[in-house]
This record gives sequence, structure tokens and C-alpha cells, in this order.
Amino acid sequence: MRCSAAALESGDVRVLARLHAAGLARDLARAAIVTGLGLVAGWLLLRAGAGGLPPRVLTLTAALAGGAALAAGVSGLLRIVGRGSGLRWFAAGLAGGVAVLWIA
Amino acid sequence: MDRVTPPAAPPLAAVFLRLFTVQASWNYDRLIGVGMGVAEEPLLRGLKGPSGDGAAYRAAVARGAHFFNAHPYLCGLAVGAAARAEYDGAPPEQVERLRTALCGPLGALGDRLVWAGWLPLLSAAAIAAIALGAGWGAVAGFLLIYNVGHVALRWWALRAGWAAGAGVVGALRSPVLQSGPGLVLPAMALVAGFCLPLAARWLVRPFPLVPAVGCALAAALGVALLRWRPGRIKSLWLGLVAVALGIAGGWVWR
Repeated sequence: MRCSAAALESGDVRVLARLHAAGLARDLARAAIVTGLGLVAGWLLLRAGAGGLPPRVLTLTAALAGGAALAAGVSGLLRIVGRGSGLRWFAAGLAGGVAVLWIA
Repeated sequence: MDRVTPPAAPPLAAVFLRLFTVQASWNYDRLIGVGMGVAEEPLLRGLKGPSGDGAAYRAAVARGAHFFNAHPYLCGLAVGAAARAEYDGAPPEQVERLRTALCGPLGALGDRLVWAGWLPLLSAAAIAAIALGAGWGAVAGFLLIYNVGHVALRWWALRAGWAAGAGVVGALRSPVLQSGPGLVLPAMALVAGFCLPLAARWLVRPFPLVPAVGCALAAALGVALLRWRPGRIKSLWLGLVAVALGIAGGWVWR
């Protein structure tokens, strides 16, 4: 970036386009690598016999991971909602959700 | 600077498409400045003039690629306004000031309107719909409505910026930006609150009693930890610890 600063300051469109294309290519490579790593990790786990683990291990792991995901979601939500009127709207919605659960 | 007649048919579609990649060349020196320059460039081609020396064009392109940061959905407003100001003969310092002045408001407005409003509102609505049995239709509805909303916002921002030029402050007073957060934020809080018990019930429903209690405990403890030490305790670490505890506990329980 700093090597191209002079060319950018002179309004060189080719350098501008090249920098941007390089950024796009890096994004593409990063996305491909992360996706690939995820897929390979899943495949390795299956090969290592993760599917053959005792059902209770799988169930408890899924339950605790689900609980942690719920905690992350609620914590982020409370941060966005904040205090004051937002919290009052949130409480009203919560009451509505509980009422629907009660009725259903 | 002399005033130059803006193109009768400005290439707004090309600029609009380029704006989708505005963050691709993000860097610590100029943040999204390079992406802004790339997006603005088609609008500036009319500055090359009949002589073809392109001095005004090159200077405008260089200014367009200077430091900039804002919400990606609203930065089209700055792109359009800066390009129009170049045609209107605004002095270079004024164009720079315009860009600098737009960074904060566009960032703050976009964060409130989209990241804290539109996106969580629709996510919560989709989750609630799934918990109530809507299935994949809810996912498709979320993708459709969210994308229609943000694409429309991006298009409006670009056109409003191009129409307003240096007087872009008027566009910032648009009802979309002024009253939008005031409507979306309470709606988001209401729908998020509504979604929470439904999502929790939906998540716990498939589990037998012991894992269901574990799930509830993990959620309660996780919220307490994340609220107690925000920033110090990360959601990712919490998730990994939960997985490790699940494997260890399940092994003992089997």
C-alpha cells in the first residue's frame, strides 16, 4: 500500500484498480482457505470416528454448545438493546413470546 | 476550479456495482478509501474534458481514494456527493472537507439503522418464525427482505449523493435516515424479546431432561459471564469450553 502511495496521489487509475483487484483476490483466497479448513476438519473428525461416539457424549455436547450459542446471542442482544425505552420494548416482546409459548 | 457539465446519463449502475466491493481493499492507511476511489472513478470520467489531458480527472481520482471510513451501505452517498462536487467546481479543500465530514455521520447512522436495527430485527423475526414451524420459508424470507432492504438503501444513498453534491447535508435529513432508527430500534427490541423464549424452547425441545438442564445452565452461566466481563470473555472461548465440557461430561455420563 505504502509503495503505491505516490502513484495513488498522482491519480493513477491502473494502480488504484490493481490494488483493489489484489484486495479482492486476497479476500477470495482467505474465504477459500477458511472454508477448506472447515471442510477438511469436519471430514477428519468423521474419519476419526466422531459419528461413532456414545450417544450421550454427542447429546450433551450439542446441548452445552447450544446453550453457549444462546448465551452469546442473548448477551449481544442485550448490548444492542441497551437500557431505557429499548429495554422496555424488549421486556414487552419477551412477555409476548412467553404468552405464545404458554398458549401453544 | 471551473464548473464542468455533469454527464447527462451518469454511469450510476457501474458505480453501484463497484460499491459492493468497497471493503475489498481495506487497509490501515486509508481504510476503505481505495475502494471508494475505485467506485467513484466511473463518475469522474467526464472530467477528462475535450483536451484529454485529464489533470482534473486524475486529481479527482486521487482525492477519491484518500482516507475514508463509513458504513458500507451508505458510503455511496459520499461517493455521489464528492463526484458531483467535483463537477460543480468545488475547490479541492472543500471536497476533502466534505468527505471528512461525512465519515462520522454515515458510520453512526448506518450502524444504528442496519447493524443495530434492520439486521437483528429480521434475524429475530426469522428465528421466531422457524421456532413456530415456518421452516426454510423463514430463511428464504429473511434473505429476500434483508437483501432488498440493503440494496435499496445503497441505491438511494448513491442517487441522493449524486443529486445533492456539496449540499449533501440535506440528504442526511431524509426521513429514511432521520426517523428510520427511531422506528427500527424499538421494533428490533420488541421482536428480539418475542423471539428469545421461542428460540430457547425450540433449542431445548429435542433433548432429554439432563442435557436440557445442561443447555439452560450453560446459557444462564454464559450470559452471566459475558455480561460480567464484556470484552474479556469471548463468545468463541465460551463455545469451545462448552464443547469440551460436553465431551468430558458425556464420557462420564455414558
